[in-house]
Amino acid sequence: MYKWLLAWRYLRTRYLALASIISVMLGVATLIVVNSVMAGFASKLRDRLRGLLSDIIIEHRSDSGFWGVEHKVQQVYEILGDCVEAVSPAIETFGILQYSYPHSREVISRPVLVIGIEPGSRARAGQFAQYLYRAENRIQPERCFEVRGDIALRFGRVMEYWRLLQERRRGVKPGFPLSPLEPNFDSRLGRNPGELSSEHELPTPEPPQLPPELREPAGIILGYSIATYRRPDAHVSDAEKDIFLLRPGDRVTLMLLTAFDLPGHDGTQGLPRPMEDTFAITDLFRSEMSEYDARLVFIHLRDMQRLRGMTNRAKSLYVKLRDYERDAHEAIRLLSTSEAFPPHSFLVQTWEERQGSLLAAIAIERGILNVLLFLIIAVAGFGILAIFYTIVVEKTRDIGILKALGASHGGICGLFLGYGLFLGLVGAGLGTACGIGITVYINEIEQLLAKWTGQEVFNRSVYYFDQIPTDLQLGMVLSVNAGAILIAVLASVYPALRAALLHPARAVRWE
Amino acid sequence: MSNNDQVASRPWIEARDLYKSYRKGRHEIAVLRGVNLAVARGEFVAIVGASGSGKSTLLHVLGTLDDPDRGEIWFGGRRIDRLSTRDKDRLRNQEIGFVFQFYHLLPELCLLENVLMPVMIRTWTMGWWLRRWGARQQAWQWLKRLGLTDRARSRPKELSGGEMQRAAIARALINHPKLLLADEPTGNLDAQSAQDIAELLRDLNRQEGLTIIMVTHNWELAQRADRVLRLAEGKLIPLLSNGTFPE
Repeated sequence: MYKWLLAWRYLRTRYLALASIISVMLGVATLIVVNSVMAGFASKLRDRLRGLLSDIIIEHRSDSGFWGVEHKVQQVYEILGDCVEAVSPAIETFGILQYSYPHSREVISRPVLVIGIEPGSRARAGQFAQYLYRAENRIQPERCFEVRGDIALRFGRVMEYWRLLQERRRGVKPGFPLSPLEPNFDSRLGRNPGELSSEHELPTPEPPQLPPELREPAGIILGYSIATYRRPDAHVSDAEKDIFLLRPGDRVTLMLLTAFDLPGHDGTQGLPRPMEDTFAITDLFRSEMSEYDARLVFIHLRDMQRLRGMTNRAKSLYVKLRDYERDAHEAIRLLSTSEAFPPHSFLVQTWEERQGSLLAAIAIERGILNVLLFLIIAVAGFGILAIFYTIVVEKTRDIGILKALGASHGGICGLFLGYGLFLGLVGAGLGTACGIGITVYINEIEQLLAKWTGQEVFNRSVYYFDQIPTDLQLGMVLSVNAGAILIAVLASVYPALRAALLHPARAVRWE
Repeated sequence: MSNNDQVASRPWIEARDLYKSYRKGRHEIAVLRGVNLAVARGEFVAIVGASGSGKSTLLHVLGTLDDPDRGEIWFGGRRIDRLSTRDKDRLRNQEIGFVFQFYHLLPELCLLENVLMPVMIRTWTMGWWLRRWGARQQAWQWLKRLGLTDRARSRPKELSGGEMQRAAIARALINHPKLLLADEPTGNLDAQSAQDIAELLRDLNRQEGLTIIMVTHNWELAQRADRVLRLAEGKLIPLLSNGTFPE
């Protein structure tokens, strides 16, 4: 009994011990915050990765893919039966995107990853629709490549502008045309009609006066970061943080290579040839993953097949299961062993296997960070050891008195271990409160820090998250607490043993 | 020499040929050099001697706080210098009470808690909660007897020397020991307090039949004992009948 009473009194009266409480507290709080934020990022990342893919990806090993898209989709349904929710074919390839920003005649080219998809089935197989920028496309993803409404109107104007520009270049008509994309284009037309000749008047947008091959332009969805850039002075609370270089309705040119290994038009196994086409931007794709938003471009599978000469061919099938956790393993087995998808031609993977290296990297990163942070608590542990040692020296005479009164070695040892336990409990408790508080209010704290220091702590241009994602897990909080308390108790073992083994007569005489 | 009727003829505590030396740097200091002592039950023995003569060492060895290099210590018919650590702890807790010159109260605890400390050490946590009421009553009675009831909740630093020493005596007696070892109990007190403490020890010896071995260099206090011995050159010398020690 006296052990607990004295441990408790020491805790309340030895202010030196506060230092160890604070070190345990800081360690625990840091661990909780860092783990929560990392878990938040990781779960958001997993979410995105999974949303962009699907549950299971069946990929043909050849660039030219497989023939008979409908048939293969049907076969997946037959093999997996009821557990399939959706199957979506796709072709992925590299391409060059060419465009010029309004007011600048400079043509910009950049390499992109072009994905040909069937928007309807793709929206069912993953979270593709959720990442679309325009609300109408989020509701009706199957129509996301259609050039209609205000997009068609803008595209008409853009094309007309380019036509006029080319005429000027060829010297058909002098002067430089007014850009139809300037915000005050219409009003300037209305205000100074005399200044502008009649050819500046826009053609009636519906139907646009376009060359026949562009009457029905194909739609393209660009990654959000291709079309925009973040205003350098943007603040978190600003509604418009990004400046649009390209908007839905603008024109881009996409260059691709025809598929490898396919017979050419003359029937021989020809080399791939470059193909290009003009597209109208129908939407932007915003997954909040800078890597994807800056590289991905989506077009309709039909257009992809046309451009690459892959009629009725696709490169991969994205399969969404009704219950991934339950069926994934079995589905992979069934697909891999079926004759429809022989392993020498098809690679069947879950999304986790596909992104294995990235997910493993995150797990390793988190593991190492945890080890490092626990080392910080271990440092705090050595602090406890040093402070306890001091307290034991300071309390030598009291220990002698307790021994004179009949306290055993075990009792004295227990007193200091109990003291360590109390320190650990109080430190871990306060640290947990701090850690949870910081995690819950991390965005407010970040804004406050940004305001005080004038520096943005969380760079939103990297992730496009407006909030720092956090994921506070009970298991993690409990294990961090247990670890910290264990370290505090372990650190008090040596001083406790030293106290226990003090010679009673010498301890009583200690001055 | 004893004026107590209940003193038994055979010794209750006996030290036979005790040797104890300390190493200080390269020198070895022989503190006890063949100490023989026999104390009857209920006897009040005072040991006097110059400071540094080894009085405290003798007391610590008798109370099992320290081990003799050689010799035997018998307590109630049992040899105690060879007991296990655990048995020595139990002996100090239940059969021997210690009173020190500097009181040695625990500064974090109030007076009542200090007095209760030996009971807390004696019992397990659960046992304490069961015995708590009785123990408190007992501690309260001791405090009442020693006139400390209104100081029960005070911390030691708020008390005078005399009060602290009385509390220390209460602590030494709470587990009803058979032997009280007092190491200069009045060494740090003013004359009046020293007088009070001396009276108290005398009363305890007479009324409770408590065996007391007291070490002091206060001759006046020593004279209140049944028997006075002198520790010189590592040996105990009895007082001559003329009230002086042989040279």
